[in-house]
Amino acid sequence: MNMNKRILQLKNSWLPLLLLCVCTQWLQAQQRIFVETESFAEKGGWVIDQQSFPVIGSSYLMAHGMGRPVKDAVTTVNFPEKGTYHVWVRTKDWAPFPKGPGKFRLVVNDTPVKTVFGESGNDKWKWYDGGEITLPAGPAKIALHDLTGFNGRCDALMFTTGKFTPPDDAAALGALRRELLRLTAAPKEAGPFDLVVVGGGIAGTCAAISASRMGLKVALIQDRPVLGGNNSSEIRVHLKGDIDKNYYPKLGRIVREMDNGDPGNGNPDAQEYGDARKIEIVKAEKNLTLFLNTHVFKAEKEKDRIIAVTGRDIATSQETRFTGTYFSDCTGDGTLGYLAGAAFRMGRESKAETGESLAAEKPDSFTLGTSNLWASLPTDTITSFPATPWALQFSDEYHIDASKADWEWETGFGNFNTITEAEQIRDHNLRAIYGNWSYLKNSKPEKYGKQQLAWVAYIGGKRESRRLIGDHILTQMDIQEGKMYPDGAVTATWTIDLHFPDPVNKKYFEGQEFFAGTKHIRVAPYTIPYRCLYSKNISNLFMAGRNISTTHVAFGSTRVMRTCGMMGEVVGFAAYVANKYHGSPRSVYTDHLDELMNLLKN
Amino acid sequence: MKYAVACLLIWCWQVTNGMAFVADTGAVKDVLGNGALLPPAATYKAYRVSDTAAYELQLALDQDNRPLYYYRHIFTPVCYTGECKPVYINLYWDLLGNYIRYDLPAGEVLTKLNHKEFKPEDYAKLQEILLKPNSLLADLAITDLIVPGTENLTDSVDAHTGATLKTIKNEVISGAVYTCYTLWHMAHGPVTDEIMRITDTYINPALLHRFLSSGNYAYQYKALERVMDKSGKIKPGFEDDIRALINGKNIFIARHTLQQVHPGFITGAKAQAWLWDTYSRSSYPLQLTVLRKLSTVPLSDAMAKHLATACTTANEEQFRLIITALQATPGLPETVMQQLAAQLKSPDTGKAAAIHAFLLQHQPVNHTIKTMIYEYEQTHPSAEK
Repeated sequence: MNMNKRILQLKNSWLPLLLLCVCTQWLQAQQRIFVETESFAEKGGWVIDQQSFPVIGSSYLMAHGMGRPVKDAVTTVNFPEKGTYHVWVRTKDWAPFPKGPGKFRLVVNDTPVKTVFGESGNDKWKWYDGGEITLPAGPAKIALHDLTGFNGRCDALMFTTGKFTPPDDAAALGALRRELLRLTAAPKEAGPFDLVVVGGGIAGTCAAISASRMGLKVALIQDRPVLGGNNSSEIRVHLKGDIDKNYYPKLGRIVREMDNGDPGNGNPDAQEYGDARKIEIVKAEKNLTLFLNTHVFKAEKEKDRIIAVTGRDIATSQETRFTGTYFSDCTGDGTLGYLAGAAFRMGRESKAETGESLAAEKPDSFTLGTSNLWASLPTDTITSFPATPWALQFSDEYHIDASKADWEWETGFGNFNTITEAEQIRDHNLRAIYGNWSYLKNSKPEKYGKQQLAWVAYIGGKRESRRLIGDHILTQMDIQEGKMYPDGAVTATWTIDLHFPDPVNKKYFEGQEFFAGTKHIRVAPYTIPYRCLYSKNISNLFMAGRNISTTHVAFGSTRVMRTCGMMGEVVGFAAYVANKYHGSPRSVYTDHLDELMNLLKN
Repeated sequence: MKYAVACLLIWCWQVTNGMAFVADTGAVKDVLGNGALLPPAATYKAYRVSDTAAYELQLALDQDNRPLYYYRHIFTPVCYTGECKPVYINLYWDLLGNYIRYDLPAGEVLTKLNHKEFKPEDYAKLQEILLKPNSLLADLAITDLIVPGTENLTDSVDAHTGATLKTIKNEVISGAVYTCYTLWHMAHGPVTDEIMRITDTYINPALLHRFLSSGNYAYQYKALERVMDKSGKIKPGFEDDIRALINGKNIFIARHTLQQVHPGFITGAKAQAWLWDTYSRSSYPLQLTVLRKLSTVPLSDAMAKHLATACTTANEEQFRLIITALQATPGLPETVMQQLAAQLKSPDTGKAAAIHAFLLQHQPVNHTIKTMIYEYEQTHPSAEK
């Protein structure tokens, strides 16, 4: 009898206990904490790189120290429950030759996780297993600790309990991100605007200022913390193309405001590029709202019109949706056009296709390359730089004997795609820069002993990506014959300047050339028709900059930044006229061309 | 007696004819301060050259009569409208006609327009200009470059060169453009062929060994042409030199030599022991060249073992090439197959799959290996069987 009672008592007590255990297990198994590294509260010496967004759907933090370890990135993560967590680190080995230098550690509450990350010999972005850590409930200090100063990088962290392996598949990971970062909530709404300019380089900034001064309500969206694009202190390419040979002297005024003087390419003094001044000019425009650090990744359409774009903050991942009447793609990559289904071309057309004498024999995917400029400065004492076995190797037979870069340092051509392989291009440039610098420092101490790397661009300076197609495609013949179309707007002056891999560089680095040559073909000043500045199939899309409607050959001349800036000015005027008559960009050409041309003339 | 006199006369003739003058250190002004670039010479031999003008090319020799370098005393008048200035300069070339440096006869200076004397930075700039074998000046006619009768650039010079005006200005000394142009063409003109022709008459095994061990890549490539034939076979007696090139600091000539050398050079246990040692000490690009080369020769047992071991630490590119090299050798020793089979347990699934495919191809009979394959296939149902 007692026994039965006992058994009954036991039964009654263990059932709730069992249920409790199951519940606790269930609750614990639900811990999936996702941390985007770009959202770390303190970045330390780490930088945010968003150039791979089209490929990996996220920004990442990178330790860009030029060989000197950078300060820790630190943040606080809240752990709702105490317990044993599995650590996952999303990273890669960016220079698996055979193993790269991008080593870093993850430090939790001042205790480093055992694994060293970044030297796996595999260059795919993947989740790496960091083992297990035991944590109390509450906030924990998480730090990324760089070990080398050579571009270790980390996209995200996960802390999980129970059986869970984060997915590497892009779609599954994207869905997981949205869920765990609570991005499924509706984005912030901004707008409606008359004109939404996507891209805050010289072209986009000039377009935004031009339109806002004509009274339009304008948004300028830029995916970096500074304006100017290739002319910002992050990339440091100087402005080219003349503004004083204009058929229409009104053009070029806003470009002149942007112009901080000519510091050359890759000047070690960041101030020379006038980042702050550009932002001030934009902020002074009452009709213009500036959105920095916002990367547009989505476009919504109604038939053939864009009705909204959505951008994500490159640090916080917060999303903002911009509605507008007109949009201008000044991204350089033709990102907005691509998202919206605009017709575009990338690479070279053939002679047969265009009739241009400078065109390629066969159509191909060759584009001009991307530059990461760099500069060194003299020091008082001798400085050292490590051997870089993972970088490109040089000898006295071939190396680049220079203390700073100029335009020739360039990777891409037919070897890499400037959009989908932007990260590989930048990384290849770094391998060229660091490998060459290591050679100079260690084998030419008489000349380079007292020189030290002062600045290396980590954001690539792109030249050629997609070219959005308009109602007219500018050709070599237009340029060389100086055809004066009724809508000839921007006056361009730069040579047809088409880069190719330097033949000597090609001899030693076939298939991975990083140094360019060019042959300037002089032109008399010619005009770019307005019809090159709006999409032929997306009815409310303008474009300005290096992504306008030209052949590859003609792009060789139109691509320089003062010319691009003037394209932006024209887009601003055209948006005003279109808006005045509630018409499309095309209707400005078909129905109101005189009004546009008068604006340019007076 | 008559014999001795005849010898004496011949010797005297040689002295007067061949050695036109004695070493003239002290009779030159080393404006660049780089006289140490030249090895000390004991004697000189003059060669009369006639191309656009007749002149003398001097070959400096050491005390064992081995050639060291060439030089030429130059006098050239540079004429503008209304006046001419004399330019006296000594140019020096290495044994292959590559320009090395210049200096001036004692008491001389170089001047720009209006008799402005060169400053130290101008002398340095001239050396920079003359050192560039692929200067812009190479393809230009003098009329493309300067306003006739002056030392100034024409306005349209960029039209002729495809370079910007700024780039061109960097490649000349303003106020001495014609001088730069003239001297550059003297340093890089037909004299190069002349020098090669003369040096060729001195080529012998001793000179070739000297070239190969000189650390001067131009000399090394030249010697390589002579000791390696079209099929990559090496002249007997030069094998050590070739190995030294492949093991040397210059990645480019190391890679080139290894790529070109006949497969026989790396066939056999001894050669491959050396080649494995090379691999272990090489930079990454050369390692890849070694691996590619290994797929053209049968592997020694030791080499096959090294490669199998290296699979564990190899990255994707190296691994792929290792498998290709192993693939090309029939009848690999069983120990190698076992080493590979052990790697079926590798956490790297790509590598394990590749090794599995490799093992299947070779149809091993060893029981242990077959068991390991079976175990792998049990845990990887999608694997080929």
